[in-house]
Amino acid sequence: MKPTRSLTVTALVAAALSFPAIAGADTIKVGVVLPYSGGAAQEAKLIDRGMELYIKLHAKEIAPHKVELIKRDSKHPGGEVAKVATRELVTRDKVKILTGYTYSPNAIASASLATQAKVPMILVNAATAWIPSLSPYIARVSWTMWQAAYPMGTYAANKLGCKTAAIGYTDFPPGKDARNAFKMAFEKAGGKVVESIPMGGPREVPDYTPFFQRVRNAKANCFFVFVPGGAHSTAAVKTFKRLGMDKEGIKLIATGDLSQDTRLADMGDAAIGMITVHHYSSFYDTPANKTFVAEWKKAFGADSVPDYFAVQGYDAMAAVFQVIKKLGSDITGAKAMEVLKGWSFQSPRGKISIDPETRDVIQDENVHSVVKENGKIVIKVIDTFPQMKDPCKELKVGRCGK
Amino acid sequence: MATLVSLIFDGLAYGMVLFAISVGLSVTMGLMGFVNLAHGAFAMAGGYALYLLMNAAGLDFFSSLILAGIIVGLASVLLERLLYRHVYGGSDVDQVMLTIGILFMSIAAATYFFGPEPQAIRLPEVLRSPMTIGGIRLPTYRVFIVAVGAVLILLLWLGLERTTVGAKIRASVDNYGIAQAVGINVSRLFMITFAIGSGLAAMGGGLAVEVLGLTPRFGIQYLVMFLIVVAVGGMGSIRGAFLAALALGFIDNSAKYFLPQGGGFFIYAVTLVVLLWRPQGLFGKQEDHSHGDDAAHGGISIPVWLRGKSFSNVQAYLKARFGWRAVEALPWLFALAVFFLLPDRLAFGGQVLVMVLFALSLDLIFGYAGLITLGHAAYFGIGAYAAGLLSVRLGISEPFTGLAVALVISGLAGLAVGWVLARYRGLTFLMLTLASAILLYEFANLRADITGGFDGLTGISVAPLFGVFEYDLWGKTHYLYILAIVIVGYIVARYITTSWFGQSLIGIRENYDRMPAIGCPVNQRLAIIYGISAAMAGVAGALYTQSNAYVSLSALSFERSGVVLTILVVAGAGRLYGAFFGAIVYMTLEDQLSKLNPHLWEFGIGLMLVLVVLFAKGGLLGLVDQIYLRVRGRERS
Repeated sequence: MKPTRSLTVTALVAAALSFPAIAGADTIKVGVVLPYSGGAAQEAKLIDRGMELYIKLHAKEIAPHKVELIKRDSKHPGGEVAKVATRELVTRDKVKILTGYTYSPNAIASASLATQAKVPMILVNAATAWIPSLSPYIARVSWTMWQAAYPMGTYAANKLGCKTAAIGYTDFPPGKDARNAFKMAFEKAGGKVVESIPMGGPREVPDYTPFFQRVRNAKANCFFVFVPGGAHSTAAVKTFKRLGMDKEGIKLIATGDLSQDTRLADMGDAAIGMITVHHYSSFYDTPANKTFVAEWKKAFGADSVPDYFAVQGYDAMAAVFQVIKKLGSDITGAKAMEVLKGWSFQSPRGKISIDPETRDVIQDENVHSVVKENGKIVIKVIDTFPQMKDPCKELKVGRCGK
Repeated sequence: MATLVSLIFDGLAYGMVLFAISVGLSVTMGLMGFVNLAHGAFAMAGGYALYLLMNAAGLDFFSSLILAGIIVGLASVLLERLLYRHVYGGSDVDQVMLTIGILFMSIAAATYFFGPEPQAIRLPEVLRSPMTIGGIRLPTYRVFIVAVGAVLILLLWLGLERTTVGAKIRASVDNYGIAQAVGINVSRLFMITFAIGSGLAAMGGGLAVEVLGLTPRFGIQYLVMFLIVVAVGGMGSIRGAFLAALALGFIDNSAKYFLPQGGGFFIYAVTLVVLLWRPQGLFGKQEDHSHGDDAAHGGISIPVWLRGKSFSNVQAYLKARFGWRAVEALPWLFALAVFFLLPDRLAFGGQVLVMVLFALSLDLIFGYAGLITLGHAAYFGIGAYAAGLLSVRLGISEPFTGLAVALVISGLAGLAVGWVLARYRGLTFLMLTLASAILLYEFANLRADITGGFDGLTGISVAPLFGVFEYDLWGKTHYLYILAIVIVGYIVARYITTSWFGQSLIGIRENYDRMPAIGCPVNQRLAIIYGISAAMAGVAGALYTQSNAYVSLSALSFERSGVVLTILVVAGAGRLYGAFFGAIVYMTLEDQLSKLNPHLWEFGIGLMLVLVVLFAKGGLLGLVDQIYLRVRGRERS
């Protein structure tokens, strides 16, 4: 509790000190670019709720200022709709801060505008590792695929006893990132990848059976899966179970996309036994998370479950608030980045901070085990990789090294 | 061995689901030549009905599945009587647009009621645990699907071969006109077939929940697969749909197993080859079902402003018909006015203008030559990537060079494809363009090292215009640049369509069979206009890349092809200004609705499409014509 309070005090003092610069109470406009319609509408809904919840709970902290969210639909991952929305948010609505961006391509296309308009851009998902290098005014509070898949590779070889592994991934950039990260870590730790299978694009949920059959015949100890959440996750987990692969001694391992909290109930018993690595699950047994989940249910109904998208939205708004607390309405890209570099926050997922070097998030990566407890499917944290930086940039892999 | 059996079984099960959903589509298309792109919506509705019956009403899986089929089948009759009935015998375009409109509305409605997240059902215990036959473990649910499929095909066969209704349906598929003449009530027959087809689709959708998942977008996600089943099998042939569905299921499954790197390639490659070889599908009938009279086109009727006037000779008429008129400058003056009046919306305006040029390019082949394509984004994408790669790979960022290179590459690609495809018509042409565009998309994804794949091509720079004008944050320079190019595009399109060449295209559209008789090399003309259209689409693509300094796979997407077709039809195809008017109406509506309620803009777009088809024959501009004529008629009397 202490760090939070001292943080608040610091913020208040800072606000008080900079008061002369602020001409009274301002409404600070924040542009939010999310795919409210289309295939990722579900993610947008969770992020949006996360943001609204943070504002609801913390509005007083930035008084006398207020935030006004201006929400724009980025529709699909094509880039151009997001870019036009971003451009208009900057030129017409005169927003002081940009946030949102779930699809990486939309963040990539819009990045140059942050530089040109000198507006800070806080990424709420967009997990392709090298995105923050596209503009000096981008900070990311979400994650990179490498942050989750890399430790999964290490853990699989060192702790799960996997000698050989097969990889199945959805054939688009996050999937390829997951494949590369897992493979590098797994082989560094002495394992051997025997099969690596692209499993179709992200748009349609394929019948996973033929891909999984191939893995089954490859006789690997562990099967690392990346699919982009949602209906994909349910289908993949059920296929694994249906083919009886668990009974043949193959271990199902994945990034947290596969054990998405919102999908566990649909998966049912099929989910039991899988091991995933990720930065958040609503089952985390920490005071900060318990409060968060309770507030969430109070706001959006007892049946609603927050997942990592929700928490990323929540944390993005925490970052926005931090900038406002420090700068009032006098916000530029450079100043905001100075505020956010090294900023740390007690999120429901644990402590997160922004790496001053890369403006990317540093966070705990937790090993999840899916188990059944009192008739319910739940996630238990069985190990933690504390305060991980993005391995892609740490190891200077490919474009991350530039 | 066990693997092989399991592969065959899974392929069969997948094929059976495809069959159950697609068979109704095939029969309605065969019976009335009716293109029902909303057919997948019934499958989706079946999935949700099953979900509701099991979760809200607490019924068991089996009775829910059958009930879902019956409920959706009956409900579909309502739609049929209310909406579909009005466009029977209408043009393919009207049908395509009406049903796309319904599909959009169904997506929005399902999102509203069930949310965008996927829904799942709980299978009964009997179907969940695997079963063992002859020492081989088989997934019970797949076995169940195959069994249901087998029962379905048996029932359909019996119903069609052994009942009077079945005989009537077969007769009507064979010859609609004569069936009606001998006293068969084809309209009622069609209603029954429609209901059964939709009911089957709903059951298929219910079966698919466990295999493919259930989201509001189900009907559009798998639309291409359903169309492939129908086209490859042959319209109206139940046997064809059955074999095509099974073959597709099996090929898709085996390709994934043996060659996962091939991605989605195989299905589309097979489709392409089969249709090139047998345009009518494996079991389709030889002759074409396409209807000659196309109300959505401008037609060869005399334009509004010339009606009631008389001319002394042909030259005078042609001058009046095709001479420049001051009113033609109006839209461009409007576009220029936007530059001054809406300075903070120029980025959006620029994207609208790009779409105008793209739609204009489609108007050349669709509006004038009468070819319906769902793959035009291929040329847009080729141009977009040509301009992007020119900058990223070769460091040439001068904007006009980018346009020129895009024009040449897209044009050549279009010419080559047009030369091959020109002899195909109707649904076959539509499927061939669709399949080839999807193949190109898959190829671009496969070579992500060149194209940047899904994340797109970054690092594109565009040199200042004429080496002087920089690109500002508001998009002013871009807007004027795009506007100038689009005006040039308009002048070129106008020149082409008013030339003897363009007039011969209208001839081809109006009577494909008679044009060769008067000495017109039909296929050659179609190939040339296809090439010109592709070149123009390529320029639009290049402008898109330059204005965004970015291009990704979405430039090539199926959705983009669909949107541009929609734009043209909403406003009125075959009149050049349709492109201008349609792009503005569509994109502004989309933009404004999505601000009003970002979740539901698709409903508004869908509703607009339905209303246009029902009440504005010839699109919105056609409506304007009618009103104009009526007002003038009143003045005179």
